[in-house]
Amino acid sequence: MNETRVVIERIGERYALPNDAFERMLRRRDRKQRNQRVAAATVAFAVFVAALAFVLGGNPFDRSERPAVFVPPSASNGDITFVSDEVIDFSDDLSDFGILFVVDPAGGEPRKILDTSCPGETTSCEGVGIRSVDWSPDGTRIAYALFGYPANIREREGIYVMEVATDRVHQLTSCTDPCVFQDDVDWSPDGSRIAYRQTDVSGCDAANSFDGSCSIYTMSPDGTDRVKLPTGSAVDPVSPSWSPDGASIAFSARDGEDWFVYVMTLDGSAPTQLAADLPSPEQTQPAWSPDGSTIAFVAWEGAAVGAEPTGLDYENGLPFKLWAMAPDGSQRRLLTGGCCFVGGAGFGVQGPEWSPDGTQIALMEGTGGSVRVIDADTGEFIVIPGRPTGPIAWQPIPIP
Amino acid sequence: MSESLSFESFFDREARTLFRRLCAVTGNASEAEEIMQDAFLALWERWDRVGAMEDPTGYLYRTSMNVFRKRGRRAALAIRRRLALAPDPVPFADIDEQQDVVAALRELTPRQRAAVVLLDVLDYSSEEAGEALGVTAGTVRGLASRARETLRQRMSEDA
Repeated sequence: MNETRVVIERIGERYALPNDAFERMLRRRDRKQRNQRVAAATVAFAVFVAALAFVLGGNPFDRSERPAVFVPPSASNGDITFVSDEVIDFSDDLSDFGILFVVDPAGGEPRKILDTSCPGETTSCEGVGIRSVDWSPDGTRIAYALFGYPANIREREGIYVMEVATDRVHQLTSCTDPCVFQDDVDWSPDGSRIAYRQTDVSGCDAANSFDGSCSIYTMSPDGTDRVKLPTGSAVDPVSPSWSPDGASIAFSARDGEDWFVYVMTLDGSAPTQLAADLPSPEQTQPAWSPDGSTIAFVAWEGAAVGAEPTGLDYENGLPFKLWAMAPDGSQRRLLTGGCCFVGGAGFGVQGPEWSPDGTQIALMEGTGGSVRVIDADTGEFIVIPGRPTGPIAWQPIPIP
Repeated sequence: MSESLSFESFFDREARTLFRRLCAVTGNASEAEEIMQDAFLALWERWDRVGAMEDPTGYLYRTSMNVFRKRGRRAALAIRRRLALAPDPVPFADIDEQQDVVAALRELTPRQRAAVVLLDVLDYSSEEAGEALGVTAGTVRGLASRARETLRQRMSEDA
């Protein structure tokens, strides 16, 4: 037996196949079949709605003929960006997260603007993906966080900014040793700062266990002047979202095993927990509306209060709801909900992302689902073209 | 190949070995099990034909490598809680093994590990391995060569 074979076999022998492996395979098959049925039903429903609207005299994707029940995004809004891949095979739960597309939410074909899946230097970069994305306020640059580089080029993980007109890419942060993970990018309203979540773990290989190691930072769009924001008693702050005046930040943080939306000023004084009375153990991904009057957020319903979701929760997916409320937590209203597109591997619900004019909200249902464009007042929605797999962002119209 | 071999019997016979080899390729038990499940499910759907093959085991490994090739490292990396993406699972982190062996394997890319498993463990030809991984025979030889060299260097350094 050759030396390589000995090494490989020795490693393999250290792993034990679960005794219920066959039953686990059956459960995976059942989940996949269910996901396929849900996806097919969603597509069929979307087709039915589109056909019905057309028969009734309107095309839901046509700006010039707006249906009575829902107003699609106006021309004052930019494109919606979503992460996907050119070849997606939802039938086997495979997920691809390396390419950014933009699509006009009022109709049209998605267009590729960025391919991170293989920058060209090496064939070992095929697992690279985008885990958060946000546009600059002027719509000319896009910030994104990359993950998935192999260990020998791990320093390429981090936050990047791309100038869309020129395709020039700048790496702002890097996964160097000791490594920290950065995610949840959000550009400030005046374009001068980028907020992000950083996991302060010691070493690239440490596990992210949400043990108090998450913090929110801001930095200049060139990667300099990184500042950690104090968040008071809020533990593991994630998903920052700037207020339109740039004076406050909304975020999600842990209180025990449950998660809540908070708002605080930039100096970290008095983070206020919102929607504490909502019986959802995980409230996350707050997004401030452009006029500052509303914060939309996602609440997950499937996990028990006071307990972390289990592995089975993640495998089966969790039902979600999209809520909107005033920045003081009042006037809360349910906009929409759904379940459960992520199964096994992939992203959960992505967004919400406000349209630049503040009248709609984009929400990606999770890997295998669609991007909904939701009326911010009524909660009615349409499904836009494209096959997203990951994070989304709504691009402001670029300034000429 | 016996025509009476049931899929369940085939699973019982092959699952453990396949799982271990996929663990060696991926360095992650969860990902290895998912790849194994997908491969077996693919065979099950056409078991009336696969079960009658001369070498269903070979077909199983080719299918496994096809699944592996398609998903790359992405699935494991993207197993994500919605609040934050979990960091890259450490290859071989969940095993207790001599550090030199683990460190050597960890330095290989998944494709390099797949190449040496196919060539050196399963005794595939370069052409067969290339077909399984969706690359040319020359690429497979290159991947395996670099992998062997890395392993040799690492093991000699630690000797």
